[in-house]
Amino acid sequence: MSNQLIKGLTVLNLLILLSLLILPALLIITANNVAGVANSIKLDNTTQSLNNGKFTLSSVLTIRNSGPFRTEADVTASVNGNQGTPISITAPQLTVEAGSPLQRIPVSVEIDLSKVSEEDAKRLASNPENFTIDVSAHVGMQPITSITAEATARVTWLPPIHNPAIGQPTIKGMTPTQIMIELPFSFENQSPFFAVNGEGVISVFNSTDHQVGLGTLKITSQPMTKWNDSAQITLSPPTNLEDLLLKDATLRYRADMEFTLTGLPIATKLSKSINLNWGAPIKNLKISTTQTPVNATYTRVKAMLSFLNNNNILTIDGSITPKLVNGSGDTWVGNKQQLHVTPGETASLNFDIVVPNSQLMSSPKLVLGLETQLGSIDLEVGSLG
Amino acid sequence: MVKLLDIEISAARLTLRAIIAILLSVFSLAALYILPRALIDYTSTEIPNAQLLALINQLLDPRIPTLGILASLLVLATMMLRKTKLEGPFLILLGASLITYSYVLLHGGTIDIQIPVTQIQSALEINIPMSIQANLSLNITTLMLTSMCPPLLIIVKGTLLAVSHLRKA
Repeated sequence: MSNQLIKGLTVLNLLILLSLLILPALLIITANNVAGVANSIKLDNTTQSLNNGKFTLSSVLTIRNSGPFRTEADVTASVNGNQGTPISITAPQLTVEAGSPLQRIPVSVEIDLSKVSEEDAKRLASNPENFTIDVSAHVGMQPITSITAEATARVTWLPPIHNPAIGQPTIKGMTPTQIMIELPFSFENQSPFFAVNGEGVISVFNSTDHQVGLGTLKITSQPMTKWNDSAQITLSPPTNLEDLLLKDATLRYRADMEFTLTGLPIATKLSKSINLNWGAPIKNLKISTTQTPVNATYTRVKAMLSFLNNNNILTIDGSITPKLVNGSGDTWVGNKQQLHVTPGETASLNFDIVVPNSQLMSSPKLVLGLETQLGSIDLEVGSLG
Repeated sequence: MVKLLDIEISAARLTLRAIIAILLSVFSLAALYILPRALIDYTSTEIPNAQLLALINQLLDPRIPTLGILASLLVLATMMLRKTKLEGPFLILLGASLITYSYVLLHGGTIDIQIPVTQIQSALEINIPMSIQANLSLNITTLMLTSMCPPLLIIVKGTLLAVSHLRKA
């Protein structure tokens, strides 16, 4: 064996020995560094918040990199809905220098909901949607190792205002100029994240599309709860007093509700036809008359009147005055009777009118002068003869 | 004197060589076969978490113990055949087996791991219904290449010795 070969082999032996010593040391140092960093990583105080249309998932990352290698980490993420709703995300990028002491780094992933289009926001307010979240995280310990993590998560967005519904209204009171109604509104906040706070404005329109009422509703709903409340709305009643007093009716309206939510860039509008069942306060008006001579000149006309107050909230207060009116407008007035008829009550009243015998031949009209809290009206209810 | 292939060696030296060869191969066997074998057996019997077990099984290639035995046998043979005409070829085989061992152990420098989903959710305190598919890719090419340096040097040495013996012949 030549001297040159022997020298070469000696150098090789030394290199092998050196590398065999370095390799375990390198492995131990790397493993120690990785384990040290991995052991020190902790996520604390994870919170979710929603401000100005930005949903922020934040946490405090505790990390210590004892070295000798520098640690780098970055996260990229994207969110896409199955109906093409894009949501922009910003995510952290950080570098932890070797030998750094224990660091507490605020980390947050911010989803900017304000960049969602109005159309998408409306859909998301009340409809579920499947979102695919793609996250790519890279952690590098230069120059020895680098770790890339890719995760795809499928999350079902649960809507904060699921199944919003305007219920059937009920009449709560009435004055000559106002009908007070209660209009229920309900929805289910299915979202595990969002509390729904805001205000709903309800406008009521009549059949000719004129606004006849307005009400507001404060909305406060915690995540994953059902919410319902009623808005107190004042409506202008129909102007035809005779119809209102004498006829059962279905009063038809349209309620438009528009609500804006604090913190969520969502404005949603609902529309619903609402019907109010109006019972006539003077229903089944029946009248019968008898005539009794008073003397050779006059006759006493006795009238018996009955009716049902078919309205379920309104007590009729007022008076009825009977009148006989001939063709030339001459009027004979009978005794005035006070009225106080509660809902569902049947009223029976007797009237006397003394009229000249000569007028009975001209078939005078029997007219009731009604004065109620809803207004005054003369009702022609028949004629004599 | 005892004839060993193309060399003659005293019985005492041969005995000493055999003892050293056995010690080194036992050491290799412990490091390259017994340790990974024990780790595999431990994980398959002692880890109740199926997802964690699957994760560890992904990391530990089942070919590692077999390659460890092969490398240990080659250590034994190479030590026994020192200074003979077969030392070079056996060193080349030993280097090649150690390179293969490093390659298999470190998954070619890139380790792809399917991460157990429940562990991510619990780590991030995510309580909402969601399905996650996650992959972790660990790039340790530098580390693998570094670990291949000693076997490469062994191959170079083996090649030099083999060439030298061939020239002599």
